[in-house]
Amino acid sequence: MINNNKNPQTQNSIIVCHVCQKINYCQNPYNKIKCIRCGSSIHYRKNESIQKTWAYLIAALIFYIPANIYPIMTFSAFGKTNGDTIISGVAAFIRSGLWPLALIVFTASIFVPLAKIFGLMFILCSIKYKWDFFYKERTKLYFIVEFIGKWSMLDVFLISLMTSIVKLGNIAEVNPGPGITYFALVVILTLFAAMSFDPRLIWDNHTNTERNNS
Amino acid sequence: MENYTNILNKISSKSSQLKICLNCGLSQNVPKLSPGFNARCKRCGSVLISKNSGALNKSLALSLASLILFLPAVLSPLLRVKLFGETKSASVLNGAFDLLRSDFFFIGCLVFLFAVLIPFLKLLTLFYSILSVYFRIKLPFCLIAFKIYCQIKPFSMEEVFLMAILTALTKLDSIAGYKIEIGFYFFLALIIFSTAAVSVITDSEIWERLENL
Repeated sequence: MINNNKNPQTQNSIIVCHVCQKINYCQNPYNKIKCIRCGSSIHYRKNESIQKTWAYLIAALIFYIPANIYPIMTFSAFGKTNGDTIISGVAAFIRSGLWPLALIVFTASIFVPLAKIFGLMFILCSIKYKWDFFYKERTKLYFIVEFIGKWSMLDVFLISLMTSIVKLGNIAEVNPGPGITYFALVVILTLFAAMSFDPRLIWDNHTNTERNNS
Repeated sequence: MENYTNILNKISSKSSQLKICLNCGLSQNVPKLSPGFNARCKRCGSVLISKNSGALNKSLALSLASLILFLPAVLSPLLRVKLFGETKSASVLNGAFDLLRSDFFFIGCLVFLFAVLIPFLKLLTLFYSILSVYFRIKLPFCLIAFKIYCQIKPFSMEEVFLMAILTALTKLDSIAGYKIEIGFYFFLALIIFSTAAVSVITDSEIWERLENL
């Protein structure tokens, strides 16, 4: 299946490995093939990239609703308990004058997940309608989406820290709320969505390049 | 400002290498680069190859340092809270295990996975494969170790955890008094060393060296 015949003339049979970026020369690019260097299975484009990305994004959007409805954290002090949703947590920071903190939490848990979901949906739609412009900009947008993805785990880590630190029996206690599970699922699903998308699909209908076949 | 011929001299044009851009799919011939030079894709402008030499010993040292720092960073207490006479301290691992014991098993798993296990595996596999490259001996499973490293790298979130610690500090400030413990400094040093270890050498360079062992 794999031959090491390094002939750059056979443009159609060159596949680059996603994991190690090794260039593989193979005769039939539609067979199941393994990378000659790292052994992971390689494809011309990531497998069913668009369908997978849509599926992850829609699932993430659905989980985003309960993540915002249910409280993500409950703070109880002297018998009084009040729960905070994501938005009311940010509002509480603003009320107490902690502007930078409000900005960080707002960016990490509201702006970033939504920007990821809608940014990727925008790119997917632009591929579907075969836009012939903004190629570089759309690639850059994908990079931004991929880079900011993991920062929305901040809220999950914050709650895990607060839970273990503020645990003083009856006096004061911080507990996670059900919303955080949904929120963590949103983050994981958007991470998978960004990973299953192949940015080369953006460039596949690029018209004015002479060699666009690998 | 270097002129064009000067740059051309630095690029040894003896052999060129076929590269396919992973971001736009264009195949192009890239001349062999001298250390310190980057090659960018001519269509989408993303970096194809970046060569930096002499980074191998730096990367080996930094990854060893971060491996040594890992256990104290994760196990020792990060901060201590004093509220109405009671004190409580917590480490990174505490935070994960407290959640694992409570109803929020899933969140506890995620915290343990993303903030403890995957960063540790990432550093371990990086150190192992760089060790193999540095001493030019084919250690068993060094290719598999580096493949694991490449695949888990996007899920390693220790720097996000550092940001969460800083946010928690500000938040605690409004509730109770706190004191930063030694674990925080260990964790800070771990982040600095591991980020440096990952970024001083490019993955493709390690791949090429592993291949030629």
